[in-house]
Amino acid sequence: MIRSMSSLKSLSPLTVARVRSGVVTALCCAVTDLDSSFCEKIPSGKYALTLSGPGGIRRRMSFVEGRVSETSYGIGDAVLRFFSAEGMALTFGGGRGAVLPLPAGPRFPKAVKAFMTVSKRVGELSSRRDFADESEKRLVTEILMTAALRGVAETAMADSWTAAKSAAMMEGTVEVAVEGGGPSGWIRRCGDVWESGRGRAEAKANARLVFADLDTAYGLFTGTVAALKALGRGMVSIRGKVPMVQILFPLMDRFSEIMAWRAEGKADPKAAGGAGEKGSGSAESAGGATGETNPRAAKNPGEAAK
Amino acid sequence: MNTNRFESSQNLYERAAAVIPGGIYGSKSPGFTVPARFPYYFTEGSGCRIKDADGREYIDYLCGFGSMILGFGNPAVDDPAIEQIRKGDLLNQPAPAMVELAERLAGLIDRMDWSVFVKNGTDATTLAVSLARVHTGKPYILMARGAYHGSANWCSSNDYPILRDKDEVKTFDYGDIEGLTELFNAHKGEIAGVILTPYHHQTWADQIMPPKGWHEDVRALCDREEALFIMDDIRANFRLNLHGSHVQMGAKPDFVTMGKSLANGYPIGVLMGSEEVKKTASGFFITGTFWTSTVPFVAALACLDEMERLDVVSHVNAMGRRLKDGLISAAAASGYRVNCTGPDAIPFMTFADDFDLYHNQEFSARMADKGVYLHPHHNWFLSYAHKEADVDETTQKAAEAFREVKETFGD
Repeated sequence: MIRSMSSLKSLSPLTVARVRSGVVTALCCAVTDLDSSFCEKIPSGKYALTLSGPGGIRRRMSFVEGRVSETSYGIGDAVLRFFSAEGMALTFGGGRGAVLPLPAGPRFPKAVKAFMTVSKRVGELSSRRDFADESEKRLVTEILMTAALRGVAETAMADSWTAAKSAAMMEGTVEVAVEGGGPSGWIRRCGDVWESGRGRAEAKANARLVFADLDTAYGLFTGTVAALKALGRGMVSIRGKVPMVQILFPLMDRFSEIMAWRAEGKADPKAAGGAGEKGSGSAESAGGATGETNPRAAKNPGEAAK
Repeated sequence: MNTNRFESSQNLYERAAAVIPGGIYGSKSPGFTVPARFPYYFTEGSGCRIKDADGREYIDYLCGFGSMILGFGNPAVDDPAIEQIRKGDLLNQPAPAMVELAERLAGLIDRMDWSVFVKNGTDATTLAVSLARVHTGKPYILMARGAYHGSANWCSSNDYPILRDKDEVKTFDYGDIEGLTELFNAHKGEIAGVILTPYHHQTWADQIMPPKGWHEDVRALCDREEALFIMDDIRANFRLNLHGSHVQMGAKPDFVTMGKSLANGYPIGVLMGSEEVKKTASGFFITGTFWTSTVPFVAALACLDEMERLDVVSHVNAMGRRLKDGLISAAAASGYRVNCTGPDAIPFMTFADDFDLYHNQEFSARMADKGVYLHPHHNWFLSYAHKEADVDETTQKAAEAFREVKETFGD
């Protein structure tokens, strides 16, 4: 195995911190949206928290009666201030980094407690492999889909290695869905801004990536289903402006590397490459296959609150 | 009962995925068509019909991505080629057929005086770009945005910062002489050449014919700025004009690249050039182990004979026109407007107001189901083996497919 990578491909802690913090934020929102019973465990009231890191990283979350949403303004009641990009990257990768909770409003304790509660739940769901029922599998699949879409969007905006790929993406929306009313999400490029979200795309998507069923989607997101096989058998379909979907695959692969990054700059190949199933192949070279990205490589991105 | 029509194809693809990156790479990968609704592997072809790994037959309009201009298994080409195989293909030194072919092409292709034979279009275009740089002593190459000139890094989608091959390649919109002029002005004295296809045959979109005077304007710009004009005729060659597509388009290039239909499917490409650039080519190290294999030369000579004898250009364009007309009528019967673009012999069809190609994909998948291979994203090709009956059968099936598409989308 080649252990050293070129400096051009090496990940900077700042890129990792930016991507991981964005994913964690999106997952905190998703968890409370998707699991209403869990919302009851979050301190009631209305308050907000900001994750703050070097390089202008600001992730703001607003908590309203147990629901979390991402906001683009304000500081809120608490700021979790990371002094280094490396520390921030480590923290949102399940490790430990130096973080200073700073009071910024009267509901500081609530905000910190709520974030810890939600991020812990994110970690639990992201790593869950056994499901009590179908609805739980659906929940986890949707969490993984959210992580993948947000991760790709963040990667597209932050990563220099794949910048040319990102730039080649035409403007528009790609919708990702599970057939038959299963989980769905979207990713959109508008100029230099990439966004992602849950649910159906508002307007008709320029391209659609559709999984035949929940098992296929879950399997692909966790790397336990071979992507090329699923594509070849029609368990995954790509329609519309197919190149838009194809561009997502190298970004998904890169996102996996970002989630697998460790402080010394060496990626864990087991974490980055899904199940490592022989024959699953590279997402990009599939020319239309689905990625081998394994959002679970996030190693419990919600464990930031540890 | 097994209802999977593509069981063998899919099984092969899974085996391939274990030992071949991506299973099938590039433009032949399943994702380039409609996965699970198109075959992935073919076993044989005859005339204009091909058979997939599951034994299903199709009227084929891809023609080996344009190579089979006379049709599959054409005896006029295959017989002398097979005879040469028995006598020996790759010999230590070139065979006389190489000289004969170079002489033949120099006499046939307008403005071109010499040939370097290669295996693929990428070989030819990449060599042309290198020679343009060396001849002019300038670094920059200009190419149209979305144009396909091969799989080399200088012109492909292999965009990674470690690959510097594109650093001195700039792009413009095909047909936009102002944009091209701006590039010349921005890189004054640094442009080695412009590489162009005869018309813009991009994938995933309608074909665009050049605006009036385009090629003349490009020539004038190149002359003024002392840059070279490379005509990439790999895809269109011999379907527009036997003397080169540039003749049809009124272009006067310094280099012409050809391939695909030159030998009716045998592996050969060629870079041709004018006398002016011959000295540069002579001093450039050019070689490839298989570039002098004899069989493709023999096949190319036979193919040229047949193309001249049968007036293939007229035939493929007449059949293409018939196909376009038939598709437009069939679509209209279901209330659809379709765009049939490109030269008649190299047509492509999209649905009007279907920018994202959802309808195209459904239509081509339906056609594949009916035994007609019409690529959803890449232009089509007619061959001499396509006869009126084949085209009419195609348009009859298209009429059914259009109705089914209508039912699917409810529009």
